[in-house]
Amino acid sequence: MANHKFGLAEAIVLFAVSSLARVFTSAPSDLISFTGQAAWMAPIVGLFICLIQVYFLWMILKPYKDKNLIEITENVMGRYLGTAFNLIFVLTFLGVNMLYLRIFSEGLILSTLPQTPIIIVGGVFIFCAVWAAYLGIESLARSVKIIYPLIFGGILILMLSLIPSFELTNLFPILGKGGKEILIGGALSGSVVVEGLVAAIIINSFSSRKIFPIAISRAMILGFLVLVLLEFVLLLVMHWASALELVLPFYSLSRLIYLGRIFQRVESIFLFIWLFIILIKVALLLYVTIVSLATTLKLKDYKPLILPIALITFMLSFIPADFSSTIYYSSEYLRKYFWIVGLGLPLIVLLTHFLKGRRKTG
Amino acid sequence: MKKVKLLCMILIIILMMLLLSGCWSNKEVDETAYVLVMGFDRGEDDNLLITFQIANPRELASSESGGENNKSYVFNTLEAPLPIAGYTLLNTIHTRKVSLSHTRAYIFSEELAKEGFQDVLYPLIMFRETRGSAYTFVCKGKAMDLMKKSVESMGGSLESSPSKQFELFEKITKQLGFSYMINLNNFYKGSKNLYMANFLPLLGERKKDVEMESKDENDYFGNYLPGEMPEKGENVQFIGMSVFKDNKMIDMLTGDETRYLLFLWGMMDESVLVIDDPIKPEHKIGLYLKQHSKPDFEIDLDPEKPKIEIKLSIDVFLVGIPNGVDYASSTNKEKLEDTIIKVFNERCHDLIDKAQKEYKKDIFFLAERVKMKFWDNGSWEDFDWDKKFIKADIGLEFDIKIKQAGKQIRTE
Repeated sequence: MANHKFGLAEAIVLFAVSSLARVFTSAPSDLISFTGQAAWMAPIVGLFICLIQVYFLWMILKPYKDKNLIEITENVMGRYLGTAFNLIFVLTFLGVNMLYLRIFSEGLILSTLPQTPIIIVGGVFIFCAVWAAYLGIESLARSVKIIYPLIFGGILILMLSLIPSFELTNLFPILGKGGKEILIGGALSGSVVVEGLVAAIIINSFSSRKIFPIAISRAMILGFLVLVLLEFVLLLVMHWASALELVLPFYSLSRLIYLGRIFQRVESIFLFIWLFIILIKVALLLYVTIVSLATTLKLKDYKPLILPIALITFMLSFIPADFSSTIYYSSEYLRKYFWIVGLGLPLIVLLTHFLKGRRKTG
Repeated sequence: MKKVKLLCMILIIILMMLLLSGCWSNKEVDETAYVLVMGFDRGEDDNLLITFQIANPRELASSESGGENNKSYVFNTLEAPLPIAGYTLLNTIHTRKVSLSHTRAYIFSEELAKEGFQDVLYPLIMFRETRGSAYTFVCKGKAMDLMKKSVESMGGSLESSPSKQFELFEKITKQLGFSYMINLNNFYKGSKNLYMANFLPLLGERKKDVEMESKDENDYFGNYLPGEMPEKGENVQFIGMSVFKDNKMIDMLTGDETRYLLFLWGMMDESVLVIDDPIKPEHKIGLYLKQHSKPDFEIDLDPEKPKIEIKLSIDVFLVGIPNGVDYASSTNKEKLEDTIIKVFNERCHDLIDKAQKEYKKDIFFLAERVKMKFWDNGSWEDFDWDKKFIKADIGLEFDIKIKQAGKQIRTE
């Protein structure tokens, strides 16, 4: 499973781009509803939490030469509890992917393809993800390496094009709804990042295990920097009370660009960036779900699981009754409880590992 | 193996040809009716009277090469409870699918603006096809009549497309200072700001039977609402601003008042002012004004009576002196500068009085400056700006300098 390897640069851009996907959902507006005009500060707190998660994961991974998080969890927690933990990881990836798939499909229908059935939009995404899973993680990482200047360049152009609409006073009172809310909003924004766990599972695809902490922390810094800047721009362009109402804030911002008759109606350009990021996110999550399950079940090859898991993800994505319910599930459950899996389980594994180690040495 | 690969490639190419040719959401240009302007009036039984101005592409092309402008647009007025209802009903008249993706302006009637049009604004903002960058106006009289009049008067004007006409309005307002363009997104954003009045530019139709009466006396210039400017013609006039409080229009500001408001906002690019000559009062002189820099604000947050000092810096260029007075000389220049300061002081204080006593609402975006002094929303809300604003002591300071006396000096 780990024959295809990629280096530090590929790892940084892959996980940074994947973590950017939430910018294209209603996450920036959710953050504004928690913190008001201080929403740009909250991701800084979130980044701190993510870096702690990366540290915990590295402490778990470091003592092993060739094991990934799934194998280490089973090793440390024992066969039954380890398998249970690993199945929780698998189900979490499946759940996150299904929610992202539905949010992205609905978002695309809402913004540009109103007449297209959701089954077609979601079907195209999952088809591409299946293809990517067959090609392997290396192809995905190298594709991102080729296209990332377009993604970051496009986001930068979006921000610069909106400068004429900036109103600095929108950012005041500077602490928005208050310091406590910034911390809560930050914690919620930081706890939902899956990229640390994903990297800990595909660590054997890295050219060297040692690049894990550098790659993931840099990717997180890059991803959170873009989130901070986009929240900043969103608040500078819109009053926070109207920005929190937006379902797709990034898309709404791109529709506001108007630099004279020549440079207007440019949202289709940003749609390409949006689509690429969606594809990367869905493909990466599908790949890691399959690899986690294959490792848990001790299968030699993950490929037989691609189609069944893709089909299950696709079908599960239709469980929420509508777009609003999907956003509700995402905000109420994923955002509030993901930290249990993202931070809690690795911490338990780490503590157990230390306790066992002490007992052995004792 | 090579044959299988080739077969796969051919299949992918065929699949791509099928997919790229379109999808469920495709729209052919010749199957779509593009609405360029939408007008809203109050209809019967709380319904809306919605007027759609739709582009007729074939006639539009011929009008640009000298054809009739009137035929370039199709007007449809429907009565419906919501914009989306009118939009849907419009398709029972036209076989082409109606699209709002190119709608450049929304015009609300004075009557509707006085009642408040949040019930129209929310659906417009929510609807997938509309754009926040579209211009928004309040018109004196009925929106339906004004839209038709606008096309008629366009026949005799230099523009053939309303989209370009509105875009040029924006450019020209920056050079006149009689109005200020506000788009749908900014108006919506303004409606969410509880501590500030909201604004929209005014449009109005000049009626034939209205008397030619100049209101530009005693240092007023552009003191008209749309439709009032004395003109021997029946054109649509674009001057002044409407003021909204709690989402209802409460007043209309003339072009002259708008000029001073824009200076206080710090949003004035250029403007022209005509005042009585301080040396030969029987004559008038023309001044070209430029805001030198954004206003400076000094804020003292006294809990009982906040004190705000606004300093305006304005550069003046003399453009029309009909009597030969040499304003290049330092004595005359000082005299003129003092007169301009006196005019500005009077007019700006009139506006401040109007805001504090009549509107009881901040119209100068002072709330945006004052809130910068607070750490969080809670303490800012507790300060209760609405109550503080009406009691606030607002002082003005002017730094007005004559920069150029025109192309001639020593004219005496």
